[in-house]
Amino acid sequence: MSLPIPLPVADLERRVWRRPGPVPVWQGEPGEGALFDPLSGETHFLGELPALIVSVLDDHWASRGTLVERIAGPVALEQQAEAQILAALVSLEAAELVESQSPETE
Amino acid sequence: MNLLIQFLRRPAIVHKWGVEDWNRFMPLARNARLLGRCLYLLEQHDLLGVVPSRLVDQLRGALNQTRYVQVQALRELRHVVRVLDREDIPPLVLKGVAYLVSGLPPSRWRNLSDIDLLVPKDDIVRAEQALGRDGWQPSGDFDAYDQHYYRDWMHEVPPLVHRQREIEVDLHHNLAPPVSRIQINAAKLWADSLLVSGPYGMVVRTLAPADMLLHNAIHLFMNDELRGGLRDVVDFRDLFEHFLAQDAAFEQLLLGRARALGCGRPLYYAVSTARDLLGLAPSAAFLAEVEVFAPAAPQARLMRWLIEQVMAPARLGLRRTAAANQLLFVRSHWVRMPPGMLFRHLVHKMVKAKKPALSAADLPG
Amino acid sequence: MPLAEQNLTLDAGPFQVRVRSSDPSFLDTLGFFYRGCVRHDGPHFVDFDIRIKRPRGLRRWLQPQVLFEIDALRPFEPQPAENAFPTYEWGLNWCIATSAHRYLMLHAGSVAFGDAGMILPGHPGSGKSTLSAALTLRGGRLLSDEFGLVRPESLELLAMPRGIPLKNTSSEAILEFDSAAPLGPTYPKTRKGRVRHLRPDALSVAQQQRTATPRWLVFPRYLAGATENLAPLDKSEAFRQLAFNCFNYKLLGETAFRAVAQIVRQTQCFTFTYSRLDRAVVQLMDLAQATGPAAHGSPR
Repeated sequence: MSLPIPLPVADLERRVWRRPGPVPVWQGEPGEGALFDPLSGETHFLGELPALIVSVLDDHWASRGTLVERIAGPVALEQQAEAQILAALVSLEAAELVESQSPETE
Repeated sequence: MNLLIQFLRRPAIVHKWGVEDWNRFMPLARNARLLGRCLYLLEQHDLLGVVPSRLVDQLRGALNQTRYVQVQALRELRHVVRVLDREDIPPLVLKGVAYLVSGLPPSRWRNLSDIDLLVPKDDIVRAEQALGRDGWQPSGDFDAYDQHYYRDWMHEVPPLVHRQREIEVDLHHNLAPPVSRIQINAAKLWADSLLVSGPYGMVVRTLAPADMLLHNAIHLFMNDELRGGLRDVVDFRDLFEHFLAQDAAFEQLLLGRARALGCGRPLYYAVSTARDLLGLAPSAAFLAEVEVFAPAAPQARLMRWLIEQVMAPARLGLRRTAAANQLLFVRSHWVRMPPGMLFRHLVHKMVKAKKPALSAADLPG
Repeated sequence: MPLAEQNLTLDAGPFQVRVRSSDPSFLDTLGFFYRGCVRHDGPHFVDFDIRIKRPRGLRRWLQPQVLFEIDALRPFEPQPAENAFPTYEWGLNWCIATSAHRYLMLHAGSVAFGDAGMILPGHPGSGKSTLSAALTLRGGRLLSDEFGLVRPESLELLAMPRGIPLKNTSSEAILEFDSAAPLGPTYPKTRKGRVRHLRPDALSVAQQQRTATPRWLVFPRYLAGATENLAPLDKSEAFRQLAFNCFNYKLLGETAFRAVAQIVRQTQCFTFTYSRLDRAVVQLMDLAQATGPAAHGSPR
């Protein structure tokens, strides 16, 4: 686990996310099977939700709201689902598959 | 002039090679960590058809390994830059990684084993602490003496490595240690440095081209062991020719910088070695001005002999090479440190256990 | 009587290995295993230039040792002189593992039936070497017992038939399986325990330039007392395990990822639990015959 600084959840909710660098390589269809990340040279075996997140992020910063919409459409998600998405983002960042920053940066 | 040197000077020579020539060439190229460079030379000069296919396989295998370490070095750099940016410490990348982020010619074939960074002297301890908080730790067992050596004598923090990864991170605040004859004003390096957009949005600084070459020269001729040195001489030649092609005034720029930073002597050695071994052909005017930095003739002759023994041995495993290596080792420390310190340092190094040889239990099978 | 240094070039699958030594016992053993691999037409391009020699000095007489030299470098500690042959084998493995990154290198035994290849990745406790050895004694063509070499661009399995090291009780198991199995000398005290090697058969050696297409991926697991059980393995899991059993998986990056994915896609994937070597071999050969081109060769 190596999120740079442990952040309170409120800050986490405001951060923006992206997948830097080259498109990852999937074993099957995008979101299916193992994933190779050319940026780190690592192979990952992701669960369904993290895999979905990786396949909808690109190298443009996206807020959590934008991300949720890409995954689930224009619906309001339950608290629990939102929390799961945040948790997945945090672990994806630890795996170097996504990056985050605070929205005020630049 | 061994086969590797002959090839590096003039790749077309392979047309004349028989089986035994190739068999003598490959170990030399492998030992000098130049297999990747050789592959590119063969491609550039349209000579791959002349190379036995099993040897092309070896060259490609080496390049595959290089690609991997390059990816890992950039990965490590990204992580380090993220931490240093947060601390408002500007990182300046040196050597192999600098060539990589700048897309300079050596980036296509050059192996890396660690990343070297320059940070301002006032920030180096803070940088080390920030990295320590984020998971980097000393890469070895450094006792108080080692710590003193690195920090006070060498301008370095002992090498760091992240606990989850393998690439070593070396932080410096100058290019040449304060205890040596050469005293570089680091502010000048920063003033001339370039801002570079690396891959995937990473922004870092590198040295200006002339300073890059001078650093190569300093690193090579003031370093612990010249054993890996031929590769650095090849870099020197490749970069010199590249920068000259980009800017006709580069030779004057380089000389001016050598004077401003007090690095004339290493430049002299780098240029003479690149000329003698690799056929670098600067202008006569440049050579005349570099000659001013030469040492007294006997010393120049001894150095030329030593360098050739170490960098261009007729074959691997010659005893003479070991003796010459030993001499250069002593000489390089002598150049870096006043004699009293040198004695203490050498004794200490002898007492510390060297990395053990591999044992059979480590082998596959 | 001191012997002059002999200079041999051996075929080791895709590699040509130069071996120099003046150690008569080592040279004898080398001949026993690799007479069929010696190249007589010369000169040859050399992949690995190996010397097996005795270090100088007093030690020479008191406690004879042997040194492995590659390109005049010595990566390992000296070994007891009686272990010259296993030292050569392990040293050559090291040379391959550290340099042959033109290939995908699987930690696997592999055996061909005609042009169809069966890959047996080497889980700890798998007994893959013993299984590979037994399969070749029943007519399978030996590709590897340790280094499964694959060309990533075509996924061809390369053959590198060499002595198969059988550790500790495995050599007894092989002799029980086939009392005529040609085993070399016993090395009682190596770093890996007691070792005896099975000589590669003449047909495997003769065909070592012939490649194979991966058709079966079988992850063996020796389990004392177990009934032989070949169970289909989910492709995702097969990918994970094959990647884990690839020496240079990380080094080859995307190339390795794609190659492993494709191997898994084009092979039938199984886990295989077994306890009796004879029954295990029958089951694997049935698999090869039922679902692929007919197995070549006949029982020895």
